Amino acid sequence: MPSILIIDDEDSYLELCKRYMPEHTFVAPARNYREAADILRRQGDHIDLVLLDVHFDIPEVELLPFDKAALLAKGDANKAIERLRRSQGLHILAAIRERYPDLPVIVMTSRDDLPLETDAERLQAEDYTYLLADDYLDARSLKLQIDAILARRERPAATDDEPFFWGVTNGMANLRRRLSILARGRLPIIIQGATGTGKSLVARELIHPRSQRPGPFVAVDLSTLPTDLMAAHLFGVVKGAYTGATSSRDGVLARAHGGTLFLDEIGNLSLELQKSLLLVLQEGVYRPVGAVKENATDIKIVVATNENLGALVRAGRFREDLYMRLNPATAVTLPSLHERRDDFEELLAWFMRQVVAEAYNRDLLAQYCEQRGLVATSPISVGRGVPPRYDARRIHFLLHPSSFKLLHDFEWPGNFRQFAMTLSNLVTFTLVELVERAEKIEPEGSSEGRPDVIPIPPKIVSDLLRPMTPPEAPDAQVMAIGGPRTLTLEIPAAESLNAVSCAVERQYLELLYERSAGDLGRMAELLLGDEGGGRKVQLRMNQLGIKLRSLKRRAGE
Amino acid sequence: MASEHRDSIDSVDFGRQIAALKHDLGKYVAWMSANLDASCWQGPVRDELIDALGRDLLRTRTPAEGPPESAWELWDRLSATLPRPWTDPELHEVAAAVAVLRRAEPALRARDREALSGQREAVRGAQQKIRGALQQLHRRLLQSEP
Repeated sequence: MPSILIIDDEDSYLELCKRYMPEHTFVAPARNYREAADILRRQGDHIDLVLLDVHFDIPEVELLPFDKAALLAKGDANKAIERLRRSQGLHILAAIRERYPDLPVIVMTSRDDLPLETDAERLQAEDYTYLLADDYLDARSLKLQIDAILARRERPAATDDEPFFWGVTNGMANLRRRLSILARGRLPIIIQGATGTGKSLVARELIHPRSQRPGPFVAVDLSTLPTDLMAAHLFGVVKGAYTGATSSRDGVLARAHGGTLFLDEIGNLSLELQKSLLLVLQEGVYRPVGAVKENATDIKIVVATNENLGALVRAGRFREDLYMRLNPATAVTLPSLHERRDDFEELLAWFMRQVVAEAYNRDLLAQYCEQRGLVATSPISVGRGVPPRYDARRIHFLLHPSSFKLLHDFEWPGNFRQFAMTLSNLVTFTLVELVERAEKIEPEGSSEGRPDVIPIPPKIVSDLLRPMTPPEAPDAQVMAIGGPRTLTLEIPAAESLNAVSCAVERQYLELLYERSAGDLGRMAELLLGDEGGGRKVQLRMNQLGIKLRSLKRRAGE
Repeated sequence: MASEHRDSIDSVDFGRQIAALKHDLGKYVAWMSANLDASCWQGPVRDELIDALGRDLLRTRTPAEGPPESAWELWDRLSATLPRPWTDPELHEVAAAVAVLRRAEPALRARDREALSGQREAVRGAQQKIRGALQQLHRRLLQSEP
């Protein structure tokens, strides 16, 4: 049942709502911002909607802003406080928005009742703020408004029709709604997120369609373009602009005209080209390479990065003016698979359906079904438990609890792309085995007479995950002086054998230094059997670029 | 109109006063009763109607501090600060409507169904008049704002 928080200094709204909307839960009302903030902090995840009054007859000390010195310094203090009371709801709204930008709030007043016209403009431009339609509250129209807002929030975020998995959590539902709203506007959108989190998918499948722009969706991965070809690729080139430019050709800006241009890995754009892109954002024009005339363009720009653009700006690698033009305030970060463990079971089921629908897996499953008298187009499910009854019109992939845990706990550095590939492999290997051993009919470990349940062998899961598991930290140890010395080292591939041996030597010496508590004589004894060879050891460490000062500092930490 | 002759500072203050009246009196004078089914206003007087009118007229405003204010007490307090003489006809209409509500006070406090049965139509009309007149005046002031 949806929960609604009423922020009102009286019980008027609560009485009315309880009387006319018994189907909703109204949490204990908040009388001022302090109480509202407290309730939201404790129950924020469970609050679906806020009803907020505007006029609060409350003690001055409870009025926002808490620091009123500047306000009271100007003119009549009593009038200032009275004005504050008459518009307190707007101050509360601003404070709520700082922490809960996507929480729907119905400001319980009509446009005409707002203290200033600019307030009305601002509130109506806010995505999650709603004003009453009428001057005087009518419970029926309020109920309609509440139901419409709640229905939007309750609508399942993920459907199999969408190629991006949105999941079932409020956070992802809000993210999807936010992107849908941003898509309709004319401003650029920044999508952040680690590799494989679906940035380009979201741009192509959600933002572009919802932008309702008639032109095409054009995507460019700036990390794959050679720097010297980037300008021509983006802005086009005119014949004769440089040697080899034998004909004029359009760039992606021209091709995306009227549509959406998706620039992936925007951090790879050179500073020079950043300037040109800035012109596109500021003036809607660009100049093809070698051209004298500027071309006009109308495009929605969406950029993606797995870097921190703010940090790039600070490092001087990204123009601040371009960054500001890219609308950083609304940047959206797609969470990694690791961050979406709340959703894991849903996510597993969704991706399973996707990978089973891939051509090869679909064919394998069709063969499996044919061999066992099942319906080939059956719905797919996956889980740790066996469905209670046989159903020839459903295929259930059964994961051993240990396999489920392995998949659940895995770090997935390649995120959804890696996850989908792994599941696809799981399905393929499992089905190939079963189809090729059709004569056996019942797979090992399956429930008796349950061909609708396909167990995924735990060994396939562990075998597939093992190569992707990062090596554990080296367990290095040096034995006591005089005894055998063993050392486990992590040696990455290097450009030469000399570099490899230097890396080995460097790690060995650093470890010895640590174990010898920085005593070079002791190290020399270990290495050369000569306590007086400390100077030689130091020289060698210097040659290898080992900073003794850093080692000492590290030892002291 | 008379309001056109107010100087701009008075006009802003007057506008705020009317906005407050519209909010405090206009909004709450029919808060619960405006949402009652039409059937509540006909036939035998039901508890539902008495409760709603009691809430709207006897406890029109229930501030966090201090006792609740009835519709006429609220009107007396807020209208006392309005510049006189009143040149806006809506204010006279509101004053007359509030007087109708005030006359229903004894019956409402006593939950006298018979008396209320005779007065309820007038009360309902007065509530609507207060809302409509204050809404109209407020809109007019907004439109005439410099």
